[in-house]
Amino acid sequence: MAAPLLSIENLRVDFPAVIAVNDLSLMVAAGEVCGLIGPNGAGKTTTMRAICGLQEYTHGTVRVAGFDLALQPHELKRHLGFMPDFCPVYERLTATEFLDHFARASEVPNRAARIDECLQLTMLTEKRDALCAELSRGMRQRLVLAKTLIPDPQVLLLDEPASGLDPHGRIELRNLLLQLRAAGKAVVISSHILTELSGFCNHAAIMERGRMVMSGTIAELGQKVTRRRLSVKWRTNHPPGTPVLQVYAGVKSLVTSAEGATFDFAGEGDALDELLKTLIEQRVRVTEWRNLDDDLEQIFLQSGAKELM
Amino acid sequence: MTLFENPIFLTQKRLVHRAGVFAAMAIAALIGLSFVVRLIAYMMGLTILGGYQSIDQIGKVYYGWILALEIIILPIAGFCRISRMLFEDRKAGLWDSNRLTPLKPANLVLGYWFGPALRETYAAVVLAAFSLVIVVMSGLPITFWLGTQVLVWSTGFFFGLLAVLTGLSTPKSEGSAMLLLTLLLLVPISQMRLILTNFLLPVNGIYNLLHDATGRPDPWATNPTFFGIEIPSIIFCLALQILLGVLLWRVVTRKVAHPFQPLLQRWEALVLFAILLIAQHSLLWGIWRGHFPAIFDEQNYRNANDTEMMPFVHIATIGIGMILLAAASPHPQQVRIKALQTGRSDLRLVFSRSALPLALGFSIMAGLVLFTYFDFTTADSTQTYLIAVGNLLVFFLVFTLLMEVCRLFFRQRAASFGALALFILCILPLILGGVFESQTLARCSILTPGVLALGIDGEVDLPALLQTVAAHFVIAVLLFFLWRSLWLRLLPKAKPATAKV
Repeated sequence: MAAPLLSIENLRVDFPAVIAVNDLSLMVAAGEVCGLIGPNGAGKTTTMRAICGLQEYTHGTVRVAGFDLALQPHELKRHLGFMPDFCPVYERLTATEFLDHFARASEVPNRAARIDECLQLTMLTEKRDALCAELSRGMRQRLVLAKTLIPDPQVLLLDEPASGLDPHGRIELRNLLLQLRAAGKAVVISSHILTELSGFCNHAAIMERGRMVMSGTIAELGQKVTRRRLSVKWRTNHPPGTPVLQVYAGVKSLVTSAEGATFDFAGEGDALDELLKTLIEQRVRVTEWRNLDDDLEQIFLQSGAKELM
Repeated sequence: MTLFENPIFLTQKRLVHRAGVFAAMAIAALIGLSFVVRLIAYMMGLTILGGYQSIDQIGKVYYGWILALEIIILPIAGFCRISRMLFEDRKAGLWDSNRLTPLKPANLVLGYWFGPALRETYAAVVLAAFSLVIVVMSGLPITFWLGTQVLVWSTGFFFGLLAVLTGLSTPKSEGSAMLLLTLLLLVPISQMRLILTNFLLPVNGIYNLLHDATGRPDPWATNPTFFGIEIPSIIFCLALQILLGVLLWRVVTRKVAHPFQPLLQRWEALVLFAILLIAQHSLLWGIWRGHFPAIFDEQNYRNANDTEMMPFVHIATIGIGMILLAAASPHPQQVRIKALQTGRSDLRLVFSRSALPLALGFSIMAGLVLFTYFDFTTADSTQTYLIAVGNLLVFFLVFTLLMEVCRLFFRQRAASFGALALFILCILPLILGGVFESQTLARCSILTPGVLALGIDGEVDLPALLQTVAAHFVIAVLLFFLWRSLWLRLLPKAKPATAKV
C-alpha cells in the first residue's frame, strides 16, 4: 500500500453521554475511494468533522498528506476538502461568485479557469450566473461539491454527497468520483445508498456505535465474512439444482426460483469448487455462479452492524 | 492580505451591495440636507432665530441631532447587523466552511468586523459629511467636529468587534441583542456622571465637546480624573476603548483559532476585569483620596450622585465579575475531555480548569483596588473594607460554585436553575425584607453587606454585617462540598481504559 494520504489512529470523540467515536483507525491512500458505512448514529459524520478539526477529539492522531491536525492545522487545511451533509451556500451570491469566494480564500491561482472547470465537472455551467437561492437542492449539493473541489485537495471527505441528487446526478457523481480516484485523490465518502457505493468504492470501512467493525478493500472484506452469500443460475430446460442444494451440507437460507437460487454457504476455496462440481455432475447447466459478498450491501449485512438504513 | 483582498470582506460587500445601499445613503443625505437648508434659511434671515441666540448655537444643536443619528446607525445598528450575520452564517454552516479554508483567524475576524455593516457605514459617512458642512457653516471649530467624529467612529469599531465576539459565542440570535440592550440600559444610569459606561460609550466625551462651546459651567463638562490626575475626556475614552479593543481582538482571534476553548481564558478575564475595575475606580478615587468615607474634595464633587456611587459600583463589580466568570468557566464536558486526554482524574485537575481560582483572583484584584480608598486608622474603616472585600469574595465563590454545580447536575437546564438559585440568594431576601419590613431578612441577601457598608449612611451596624458575610461564607463552603462530591462521582467515569460503548 502506498503511503496513506489520510491516516487516522486511535481516534476517540466523547460526547457528554456517549463515546461517539471509539478507538477508530483508518488509512486511505492515493487513488482509494473509501466508503464509510454505518447506521444512523454510528459516528460517520462525527469522524469526518473530527478529521477537519470541526469537532473536538479526546485523543488519537489525524494526519492529512503528512500534516498532523493537532500540530499543523493550517497546512492540513490546504490538502483537505470537506463536503458536509447539508448545503451551506450564500443565498444571494451567484454560483460563480460563491466559488470565487472559496477560490480566493484558498488562494487558488488562475481562479476563473478553475471555477469554470469545477462548474463543468459538477454540470453547473449553465447555472453559473444563477443565484444560489434559485438552485434546487440537488444543484446546491453539486455546487458545494464544486466548492470542495476548487482548491484541488488531495483528500476529500464527502458526507452523504448523493442524498439530494436525482438518478442522473448520481450517475454523474459516480463518474466524477471515478475521475477523482483515477487522479490519485484519497476520498472518504459516507452514504446510505450502499449499492451506489459499490460502483466506485474500492475500500470500505464499516462503523457501528462509534467503533470500526471492519475495514479494508472490498475483496478483503468479502473474504473476512465467513458466511458467503452465493447466487447460482441454471438453464430451465435442464434439471434444476434445487434438489442438490437442499441436501448439500453447509447450504443455508436457500431461496430458489425456476432460473436459479441464492443461498449462504459456510466454507470457501475447495468446498466451493466441490459444490459447483457436484451441481455439474448432477447435470445442472450452470449459466452464472456469483459471489454476492463483493457487494457492499452483503458485506454490511454480514458485518455485525445491526441496524440497516 | 489587505482588507480589500479579504474574501470574507469582499463577499459581505457583495451581499450588502446586492441588497441595496442607495436607499440608506439617500435617506441619510436627505436628513443631512434638510438640516443644511434650514441653517441656510437662518443665515439668510428667512427664518427667525427663535430661542437660539446665535448661528453657532443652532449649528451645534443640528450637529447634535446628526450625531445622535450617527450613533444609532453606526455602533447600535452596526452591532446588530454584524452579530446577526455571523450568527446566521454559523447556523447555516458557512462559518465552518470558511474556517476550513486556509484563511487565518485574523482575516476571518476582519472580514466579519468590517463587511456586514457596510450599509450602516455608508449612511454614517454621508451624515458625517453633512455634519461637517453644518459645522463649517456655523463657524464652529473643526477640532470640535473631528473630536466628536473620532469618538463616534471609535465606538462604532469597538462595538463591531464586540459584535463579532457575541456573534461567535451566543447560542441564540437574541443573545447579542440582549447584550446590546444591557449596555444601552446602562445609559439611563448615566445620571451618575462618573459611571464607566459614560466613558466607554462616548457619552461624557461628546457632551464635553458639545458643551465646551457654550461656556456654561456644568459638572458634566469637566474632564475626568485618573486617580486624581485630570485627563481630557476624549483621551480617557479612546484609551479605554483601545485597551479593551486590543484585548477583545486577542480573545476573538484566539477563539476562532481554538473554538473548543472557553470564550475567555482565565488571564484574559482577569486582565479585562482589572482594566474595567481600575478604570472605574480611577474616576471615583479623587472624591475620597484614601479617606473613605470622608469626602476629600467636596467642591469638585458637589453632584450628590458622585458621593453615593460606591454601592452602585460594588453591584456593577459583582455583575461584571459574574459575566467574566461565566465566560471563562469551561463546560464540565471540556474538563472531562481534559481528564481523558491527560489520564488524570483527580480533583486537582478539575480545580485547575475551574473558574474558582479566577473567583479568588477577582476578589484579590478588587481588594487591592479598594485598599487605596481606606486609611485603616479606625475600626470602622477596617471593618468596612473587610465587609466589602469579603462580600465580593463570597459572591464570586458562590456564583462560580453554583454555576458549575448546576452545569454538573442539571446539564441543559443549568441556566434556569442557576438563575433560580441566584434569585433565592440575592433578590428574595430583599423582597421578603420589604414585605415584612425586616432589615434582618433583607440583610440575608448576599448582595447586601457590601452595598450597606459602602453606602454613606452612617447608621450601619458593621459588626452585624461582618457576621452576615461570615454566614454567607458558610453557603460557599457547603456549595464547595456539593461541587466536590459531584465531581468525585463523575471523575471515575472519565477513565480512558474502562470506557465502553
